[in-house]
Amino acid sequence: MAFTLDRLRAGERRTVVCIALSPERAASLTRLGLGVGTEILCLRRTPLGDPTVYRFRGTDVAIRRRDAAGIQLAGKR
Amino acid sequence: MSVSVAFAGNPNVGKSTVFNALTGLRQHTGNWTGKTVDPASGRWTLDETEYEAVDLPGIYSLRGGTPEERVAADYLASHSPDVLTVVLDATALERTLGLALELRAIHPNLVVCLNLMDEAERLGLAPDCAALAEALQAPVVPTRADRKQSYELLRRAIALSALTSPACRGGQGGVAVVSELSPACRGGQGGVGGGVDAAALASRVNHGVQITRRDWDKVFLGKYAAWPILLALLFAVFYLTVRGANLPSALLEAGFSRLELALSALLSGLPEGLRSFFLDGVYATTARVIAVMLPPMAIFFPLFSLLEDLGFLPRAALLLDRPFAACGSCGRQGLCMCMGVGCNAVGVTGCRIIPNEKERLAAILTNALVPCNGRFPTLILLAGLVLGQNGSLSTAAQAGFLTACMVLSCAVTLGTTALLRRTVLRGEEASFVLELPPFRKPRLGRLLLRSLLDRTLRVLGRAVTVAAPAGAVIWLLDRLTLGGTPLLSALACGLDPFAANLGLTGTLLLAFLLSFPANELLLPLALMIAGMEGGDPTALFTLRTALCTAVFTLFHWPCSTTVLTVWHETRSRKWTLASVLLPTAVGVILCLAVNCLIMFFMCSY
Repeated sequence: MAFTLDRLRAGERRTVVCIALSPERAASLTRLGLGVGTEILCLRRTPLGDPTVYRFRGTDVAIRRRDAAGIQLAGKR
Repeated sequence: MSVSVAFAGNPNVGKSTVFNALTGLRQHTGNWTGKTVDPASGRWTLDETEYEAVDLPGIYSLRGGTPEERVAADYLASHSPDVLTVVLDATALERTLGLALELRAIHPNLVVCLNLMDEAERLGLAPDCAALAEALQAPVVPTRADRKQSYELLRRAIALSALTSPACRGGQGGVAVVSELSPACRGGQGGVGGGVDAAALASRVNHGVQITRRDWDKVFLGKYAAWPILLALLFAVFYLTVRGANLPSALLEAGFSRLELALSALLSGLPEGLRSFFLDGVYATTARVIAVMLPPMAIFFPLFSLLEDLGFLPRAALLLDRPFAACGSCGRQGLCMCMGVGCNAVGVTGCRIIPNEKERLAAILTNALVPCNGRFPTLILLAGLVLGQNGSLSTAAQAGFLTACMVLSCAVTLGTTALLRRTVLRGEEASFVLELPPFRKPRLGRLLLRSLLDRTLRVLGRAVTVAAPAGAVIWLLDRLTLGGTPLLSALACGLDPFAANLGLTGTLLLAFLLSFPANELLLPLALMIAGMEGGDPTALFTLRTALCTAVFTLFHWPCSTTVLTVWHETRSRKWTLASVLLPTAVGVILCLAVNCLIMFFMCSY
């Protein structure tokens, strides 16, 4: 099973290798500069557990688990 | 001859601020992603040359597929402006340089505006403009909102760049500007290295210095503090609005009645009927609407804008997202509901921040289920009625009653939204991606002006245009008689049987109908219909009618201003009608239920 963004723990940093989302879903992320090769850091989960705040290209962005599950990262869990 | 200049940049880098400073336009700017959607245009003159500028929507890349990106890419492809200015955020070079590198590759005359320099310096950054200019092969002009001259320098740099544009070669003026730009800003020599990486370049320009911001989100999004802080802040805003508005409202009302005396003297030449029509009908209603609506809005909207400018609102939307996601919506709807407490019309307009069309429509239709501050005075009076008015214990109980009202309203809003999203507005769960801008120090003067002009006065303007004719109609109804009995009493009697099913009286239901122009009018109208103008409103209620009136106050048709706004936002008769029928249906059903329950308990005793 691929290592996806939703399984990244707070404080961990990985590189995006594939975005497996429908074009509309992917657009809102690529618009912010998230693409293959982008390094992404998991900052913190919100108190209710979802969404999670990530940092890439110097910006903090909140992403829901459902979208994060479509973003595959380098390496293994 | 004129020079065409296009402005591009990421969202939320202060592009609109730079554009406005150069062209003197007044576009709405705010600490919120995606304020500019359609390209705005403006112009300025420098050394007898006219510059025509276009502000492109904020984009991250030319290659993405969003509407903003298509608008920007199409514009650049079809218009080929003489000069292309890219606005960068000096505090977030890594993110914003990507676009600059893309634009560098497609346009020969690029001018780089390094904005938010003041903030960058405060954060301990000292971006190396010369290095950036060398890497991008373009003049780099640092700008800052607190120094006007920096914009003048940007104008000069654009003029200089235009001189090398094929279309502008041979134009007049501009030669004198060369000496005013430092060599660093004129751009270095040598080719742009292929495959320059934005992250590496950003690090080089900043000499490897990384921003260390105070991590406020540790607190604001923390496990324990987040929700208490959110609820406390919202409560403080609502409390200050309801409490703080009493005095200015009273003062305004006193002022208006003094003005009425003056007007009365002025109109003394008119026949008595006509004078009364203007004074007691049109003037009195309009004055009352202004007196009760203006102070709360003038307090609420600046406070809300303050939270917006600080950067707190995206955090609130993030915290609220989970429960809203469960109902097929998103946290941004929570913000629209908060705005709805200030005024439902503003809440409906605020739904523009929801990108998904169906989610936005659901948020618009359910916004009136949140009580606006025009309904608070009624709820407070009813709280006193239901729970008794004396003693300190009852003050706490009244606060509890109001809280219960708000909780009920939120629950019903969420439930109705879920219902809509599973039926008529069914659709796939939209993605939720929310940028969290850094906390920023708000600029109070601009903030006050903006929230007063943009929101308060516009809503007030709309309200007055409805209140004046409504005042005339109410005055006429009050004077008309039907076979000896006043028309209003007759209507109230006619409504009595139906109203009784809802636990209301005909008088109250008629007052609800007539307060369509503004919810604030409910109690004065009820007193007028009952023929006890200026009397004690508590005499209108029993315990049963008080409870049912509270429920119906929370849930009934939106006021006329809000309906008008729904029409403006949806441009659809069907959805506008739905926005009236939906809360009404909720109110009727709940009132029937509450009334049945009360009857059941009363019979069983």
